[in-house]
Amino acid sequence: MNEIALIHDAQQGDLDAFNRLALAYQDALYNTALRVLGDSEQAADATQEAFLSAFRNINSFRGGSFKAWLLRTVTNACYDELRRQKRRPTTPLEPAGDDDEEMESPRWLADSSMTPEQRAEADELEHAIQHCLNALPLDFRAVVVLTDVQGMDYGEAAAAIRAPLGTIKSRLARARLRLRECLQEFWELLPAAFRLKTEAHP
Amino acid sequence: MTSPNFSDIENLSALLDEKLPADEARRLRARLEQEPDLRAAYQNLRQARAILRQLPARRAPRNFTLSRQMAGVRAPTPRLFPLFQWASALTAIFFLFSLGLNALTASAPAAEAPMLAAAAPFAAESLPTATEESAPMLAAAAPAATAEPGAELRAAAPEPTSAKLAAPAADAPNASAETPAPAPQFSWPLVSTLLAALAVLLALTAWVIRWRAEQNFRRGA
Repeated sequence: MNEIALIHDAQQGDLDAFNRLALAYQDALYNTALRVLGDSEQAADATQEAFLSAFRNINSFRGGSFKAWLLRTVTNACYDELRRQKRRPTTPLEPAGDDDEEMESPRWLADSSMTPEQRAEADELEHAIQHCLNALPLDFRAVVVLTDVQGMDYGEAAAAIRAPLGTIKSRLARARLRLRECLQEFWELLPAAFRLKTEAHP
Repeated sequence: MTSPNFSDIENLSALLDEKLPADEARRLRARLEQEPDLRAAYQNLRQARAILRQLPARRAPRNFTLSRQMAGVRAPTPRLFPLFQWASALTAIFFLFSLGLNALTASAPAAEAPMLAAAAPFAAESLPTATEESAPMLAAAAPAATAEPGAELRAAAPEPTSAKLAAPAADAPNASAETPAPAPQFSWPLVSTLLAALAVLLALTAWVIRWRAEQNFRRGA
């Protein structure tokens, strides 16, 4: 995929070129929205909104990392979604399990190559992490998702949320510290393999 | 040995990401070897990052590509569309212009009507004179006018319009012999109506061209 050519074509109004870029980056945008919002439906809405906004404003892209630019649009869409939620709080509708209880990590989302035990462990871990992410202030959450989940460097994260590098560094340190404290509560719930792996570090 | 402050935590986090300047990193590593609290804080940050990296990447539940409708992409403008659009606009301007002329021509005869009425008897009297008496008399009157300017001006003072009005009458002798053929009338109202109809027709054509292009575009999308 020649990204630069596709961006250029998209800037000329070529929707097909833009859609090829959307297909390439949709997983990254969806995952970012999912980790920031903690809800798959809202994450899908925010991702769609982000792509729409990206197409409308693609002429404002002046080079650099296109992924970082797209992640900025999805972060903004997440902020908008959270502001909307504050104004009109709603009860999330999640798929119900056999016992009629809502499942926060539905089975249909899981990797089919895992054994049921592995899947349960993964779900548990994911649930705990997401719980702790949700407990972070939004600004901290966005930074930690962009850097530690999406693997962006400080500069890209700074561009994505339009904050100085120093702010990114500070928010990231605070977010990691708070996450570590929060996860301490779930330590026994975490899969043994993971516990050993993370605690094995000197 | 002191417990790490927030500045230390920030630097440890940056050290973890290798974003600390080399000399600062060297100093901090030296402290890490000597200060167990600092080392513990570093491990906490490291574990938090490791846990976050364990988060599984989810696949997008559907494709987020945009349809033309969602993106608000409109059909490309057909080449003929602007032509008809401009033609329609120009015709509309001509139509308005013709309406103005219409109004002017309608008001002019109304303003001149009393003058014509006043001049009618004079014209009627002068007509036979002009027809019966020959041109030399008219020619003689001209020098008289120059010879006695004051008297003539006084006498002629009320007459300029009537003379002017009578002028066609004076020219009439030749025509009066035959039946005067009615001059072809230029009907402004008719022109205005035609222009209005043309403007509407052109605008409609432009709209149909655009509409058909959009229909074809939607079928293709």
